[in-house]
Amino acid sequence: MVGITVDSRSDPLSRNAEWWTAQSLRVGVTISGVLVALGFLLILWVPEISILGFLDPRDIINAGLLTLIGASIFRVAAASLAFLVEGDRAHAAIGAAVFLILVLSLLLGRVE
Amino acid sequence: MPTPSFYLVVLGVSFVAGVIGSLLGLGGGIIIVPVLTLMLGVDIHHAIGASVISVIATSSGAAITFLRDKITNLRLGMFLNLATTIGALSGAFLMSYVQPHLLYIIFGLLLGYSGIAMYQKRNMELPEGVQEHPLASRFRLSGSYYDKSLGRQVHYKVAGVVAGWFVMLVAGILSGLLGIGSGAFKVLGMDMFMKLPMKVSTATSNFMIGVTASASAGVYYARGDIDPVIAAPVALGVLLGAVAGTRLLGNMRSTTLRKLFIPILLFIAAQMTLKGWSA
Repeated sequence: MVGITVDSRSDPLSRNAEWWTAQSLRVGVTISGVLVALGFLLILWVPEISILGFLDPRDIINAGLLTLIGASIFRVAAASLAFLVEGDRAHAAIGAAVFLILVLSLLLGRVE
Repeated sequence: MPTPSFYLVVLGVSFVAGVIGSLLGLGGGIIIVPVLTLMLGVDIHHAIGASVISVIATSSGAAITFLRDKITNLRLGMFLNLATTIGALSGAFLMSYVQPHLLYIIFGLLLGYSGIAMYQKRNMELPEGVQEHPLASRFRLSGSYYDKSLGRQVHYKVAGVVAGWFVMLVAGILSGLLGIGSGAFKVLGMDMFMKLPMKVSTATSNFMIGVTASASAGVYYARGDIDPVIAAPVALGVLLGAVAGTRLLGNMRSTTLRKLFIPILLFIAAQMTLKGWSA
């Protein structure tokens, strides 16, 4: 038997947090995908090209990959903020703690 | 400069890794690293750097759909991410005090045993008779999602919160110590201890592995281990694969998912045990 709980689709608190997190990821992944694809195509066809005199295709790919990494970390902050706005302080605090540990890990440079 | 056929192989393999990763809550490193190093002769450091990018791409690409469809349990993912990130940080500090080869053997055998335990319930579509843990009630961790393959809303309760949190802590410590993604441990923890539906376990694991990998990606970048020429086709292939995987998961039965997961779990178990043994 599967337990019966409140349907989270009708729970605006949950919907908002998930929506904001998904949206933050969608924006990041789209920008990242476009940059990586552009850089990749340039590397395939015109690897020596230089845009604005200093950007080469590898720089464009790097910008895309860093956007992907940034969006992935930012999803935690986005979820935490969404929980806070909706008044779910427990999960906002958990999200903030995870975000701080991630930043700390980056600063210490030794995770995974 | 790699050849066009090199890029085609990397794109294809990454697509497959993205599909499998998004379906099973794994990072895809078990596919990408061997292909890049053994088949294509890529330096191991660059292969691992590309693998970290593949984990983030799988997680990010799949999470957009899984969050929208409520298959990812965001509250639970955040709650458990606290354990994995604390674990990963602790593991990194414990690195110089622990013999990694022993850990590979112990946890490889443990994964193998879990694979056998999972095989015994291979025909179970949804967990039955689950008692909600008081902490799950306190933190509103239980949830529901619409299962397209069953054609109905599935409501589920979360059990074993303390045990599940502890498993995630250990998974995090292993990530920090051994440099593995530990997606398999996360799925197992949620499936076996917290009694979640298989789809929720894999989707929530998917969300979690990307968060931890993002922190390590910065480190790999700083070391110069992420070569954009290799990481670009990996990221693109995995992103496309992850999107395809999310479409497949919706229409797939949990029993099918479990039957796909078990052989991969046993493969990872054997790989870990052998790695520990040969060291």
